[in-house]
Amino acid sequence: MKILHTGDIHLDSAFCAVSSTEANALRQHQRDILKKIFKIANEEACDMILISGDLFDTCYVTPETRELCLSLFSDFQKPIIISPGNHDPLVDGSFYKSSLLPENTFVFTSSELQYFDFPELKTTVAGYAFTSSVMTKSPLEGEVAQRENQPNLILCAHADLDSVATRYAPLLTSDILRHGFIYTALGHIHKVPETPEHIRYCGFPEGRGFDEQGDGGVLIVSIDDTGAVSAKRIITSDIRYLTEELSVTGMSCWEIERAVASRIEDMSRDCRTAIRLELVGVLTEDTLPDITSISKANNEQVISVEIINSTLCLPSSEGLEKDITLRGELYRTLKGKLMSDDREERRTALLALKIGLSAIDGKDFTDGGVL
Amino acid sequence: MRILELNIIEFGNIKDKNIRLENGLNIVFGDNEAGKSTVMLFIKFMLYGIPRRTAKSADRDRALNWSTRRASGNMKIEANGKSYRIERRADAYPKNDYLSMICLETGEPVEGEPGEVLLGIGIDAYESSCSIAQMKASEISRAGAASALDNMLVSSDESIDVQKVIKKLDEVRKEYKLNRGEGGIIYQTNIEINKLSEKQKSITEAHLLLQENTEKLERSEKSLSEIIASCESSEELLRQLRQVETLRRFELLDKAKAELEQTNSMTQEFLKEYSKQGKLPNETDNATLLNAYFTYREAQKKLSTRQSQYNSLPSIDKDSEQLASIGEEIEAKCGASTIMSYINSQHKKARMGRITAIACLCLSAVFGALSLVLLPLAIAAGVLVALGISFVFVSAKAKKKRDAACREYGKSFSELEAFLNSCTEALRQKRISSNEIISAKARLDEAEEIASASAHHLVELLEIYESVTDTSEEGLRALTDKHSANILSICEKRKDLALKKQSLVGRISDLEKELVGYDRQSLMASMTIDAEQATPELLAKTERAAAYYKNARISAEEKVRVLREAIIALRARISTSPVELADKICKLNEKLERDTHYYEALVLAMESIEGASSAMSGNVTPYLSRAAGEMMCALSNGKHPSVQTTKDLTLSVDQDGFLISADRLSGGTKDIAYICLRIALMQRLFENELPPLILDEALCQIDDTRTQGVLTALSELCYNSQCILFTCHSRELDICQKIGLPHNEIAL
Repeated sequence: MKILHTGDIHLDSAFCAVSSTEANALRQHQRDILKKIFKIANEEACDMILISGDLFDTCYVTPETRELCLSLFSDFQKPIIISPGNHDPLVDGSFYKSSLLPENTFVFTSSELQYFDFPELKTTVAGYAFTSSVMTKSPLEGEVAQRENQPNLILCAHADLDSVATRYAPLLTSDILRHGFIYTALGHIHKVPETPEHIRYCGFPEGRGFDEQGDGGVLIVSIDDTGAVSAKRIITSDIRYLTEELSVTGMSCWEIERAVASRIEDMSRDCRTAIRLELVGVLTEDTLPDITSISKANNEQVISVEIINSTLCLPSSEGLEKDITLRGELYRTLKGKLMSDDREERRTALLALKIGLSAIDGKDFTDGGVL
Repeated sequence: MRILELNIIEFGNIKDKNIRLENGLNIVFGDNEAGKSTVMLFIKFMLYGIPRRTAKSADRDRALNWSTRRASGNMKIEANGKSYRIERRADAYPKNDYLSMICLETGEPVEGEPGEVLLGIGIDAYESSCSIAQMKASEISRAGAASALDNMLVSSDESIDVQKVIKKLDEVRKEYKLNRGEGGIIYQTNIEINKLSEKQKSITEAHLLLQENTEKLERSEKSLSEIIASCESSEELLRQLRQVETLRRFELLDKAKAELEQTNSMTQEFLKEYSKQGKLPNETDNATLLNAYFTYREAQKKLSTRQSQYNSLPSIDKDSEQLASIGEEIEAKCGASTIMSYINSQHKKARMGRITAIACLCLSAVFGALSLVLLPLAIAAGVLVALGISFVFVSAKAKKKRDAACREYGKSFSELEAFLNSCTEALRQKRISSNEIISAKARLDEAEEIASASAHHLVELLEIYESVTDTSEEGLRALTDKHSANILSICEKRKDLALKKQSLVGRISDLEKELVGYDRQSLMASMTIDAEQATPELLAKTERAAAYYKNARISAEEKVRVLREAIIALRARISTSPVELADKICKLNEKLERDTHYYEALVLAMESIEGASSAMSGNVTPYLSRAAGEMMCALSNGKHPSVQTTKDLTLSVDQDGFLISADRLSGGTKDIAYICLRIALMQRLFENELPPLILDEALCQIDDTRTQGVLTALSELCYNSQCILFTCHSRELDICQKIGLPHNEIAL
């Protein structure tokens, strides 16, 4: 038996970094990814599709997405099992309660454990639904229900595995083992963590921004007659988001341009990559890299290049180090934070230094003045 | 570090000027606008270049030659035991700036800004320490002098007013977030996010509800169309069944008309059969007959009663007859009462006479006795005796008459009155009895007449129906009963016929009214169902079904209407897509994150500047106070032995054992304090090798004595380095010559 395991698609997501038109285009692209997933399911001759939550970004589903889902679900004909997640919980009026859902679509409707039996596949899929955006109790707690003629038992769930204090279904590996699931299809954690072969997070099918980095995909899970499970990941994303830091301390503008080009070349394996490169380090005051032109110059080989200049432009860091005036003292006061391993602390300290120096010099230090 | 040679090709108002400088004190002398400040700016240009033109700095404009709009030149310097040649060119565009620095010993180019490389300090530190420009000197001569000195102490830079910097930062911080958190850009963004989130929540709920209602509407509309179909189907069947019913009514009408005809015929026959004397006997006839019979029967009864009464009248016995005859006699005389009155009067007269006689006699006895006393009374006694005797006679006579009257009826005086009364009563009774007999006879006669008349009348009535042979009471009663029953039967039958006819007429009328507008033929032609199937049960069932579907349709239509209205209301609530709102919220969250980051950085900058300032006041400031104080003491000939700062970082100068605020010092003393602080700062910065100390008109406000002290101190300070003093006065040259201070004089 072959199963396509997906989830965390977050259809109809909000996109804030782009214009309204571009955001609509990105939402259309998400729908295209869903089409691609169903195409893969057909090509791989999957017997069922497990959607482990967060198919949609919110309870509200746009008419376009609604129509597409109904059409894809209906066309697939084989069972589609959905476990509503914290982003798209099962509430009144939600897509999952629609009477238009085709018969081959099985949606869990309770926060308690439920079972869907598929005798023709000798398989039972267990699962539950988020009925609000929070679920603090594990549905796998308590006694294991005794079921006759126990076939291949699979769990399809949206959960935060082994995270006891979580508000998003704190499932425990021990409970999963106790219930005897031969495969556990999980959703919720976008950055796929290390788990046993038979307990898998599917990850996102495509990142929506630089907080979802790398290739997105789905899992094709094969279960043989002995119950042995094997899974392979198929890449579905058209866009891969990557973020890296580039230290440019002491470099001239030209050197910076060369370093950026070289790093982008390393990062872009193909044209599917969107790169965010953060320049860090200390530059002299006269070194003012033209971020816009560097971005444009390197934009051809990738989807997009976003260069963030987080460098500290100083007349001379050595000069500041020795400066006995308030400028130098300010630099020395912030130096610990400027060299911190914590990126956020480093960022804040850098901005504080820029603001402080500008203020001391009587320059404009408001948002536009220092960023 | 020492400057060996300045070669100005074109800079400001100077062209092709070469200036050679020596170790120790160099005094550059020239009139106003001779170019002293320009030479000072040229040195800075060589060391640090010229920054872009900004609102606050016009150095680039000042540096560019007034005619060629270019600046170029070179400078030879000695630093760290090596000589360097610095060459620069600049024009209006910073991108065309040219810099070259070559180590003259090795011929190798040296990277970096010469000032930073050779002095090890940035331009700010350079301007804060070894370069004291004319403008600065004039500034400290004005009202800002004290704060400039304060600034130098707390920030080692006269231009940095920490309090102002912090105040400015705090002002900007408040723009982002007020102390209590209510107000500011961050607060407003949060408010906006909350508003949009609420709106998004509301619109999402509306969308979900809309979706739910839309699906409900679809289901309801589908259900409604099914109900309408069922409703129409049942109504069509009902119409057909009612058509059958109408046809049946036509049949009923036909039947009723036939029945009416039959009834009319029966009525005719009945009339023929039962008519008497040209008409049918009716209830009145029956009542007349029965009344006659009852009258007859009552007359018979009355006759019988009268007969009985008459026969039962009582007869008078002999004694009563005798008494009645005595009574008649008494009545004939004068009546019993008169007799009794006479007898009673005689009786009373006898009694009164007796009483009076006794009284007179008794009184005469009294008078007789009294006459013994009074003689005249004897006469009276005699009279009384005579009277008494006369009354005796009267009484006896009356008694005699009474008794005579009683003896006439043979009764004593005491029995007579009762006797007379019984006679009178017997007479009265006799007379009554006679009257009753007469009256009873008269009534009997009358009853006999009535009985005869009623019997005659009854017979007359009965003979309408048949001949009466038996006129006995029994016979008449039997005949009366018989004919009365017949009459009633006829009446009943007649009534039945009439009612039947009336009913049929009414029914026909009703049916005809009901069937107005119906065409029997067309109804028959449009029949699609078998009339036999159209049973009343089916009709009732169909009517119930039609009513049910009608109600269901109303209910379903109402449901659909309510849902449609709800959907319209929900659509009105949905002004935008939740996804678009989510985009906006996302953007605002990003802005909030950016602003919050900026705010945190701002707060950190404030805290760091305060911390730095505090650190300086605990570290650098004491050094500057001490070093500047020593120099101040020497230059003021011990008048101001120290320079100090208070806790609030205000500069104070010790004068005659009292700390006085710097703003109370004279202009010259302030200048000295300023120079002392700058030199102290320079010594602090350049512990190993002092750079050239450059002063532009720094001594102009200082008196000759103190100028001499300052020049001596500068000469000693720069013995192994260099001091370049720009002045427009010859006083400094005169003092040097006067006291024999070694110096290099350069005229511009």
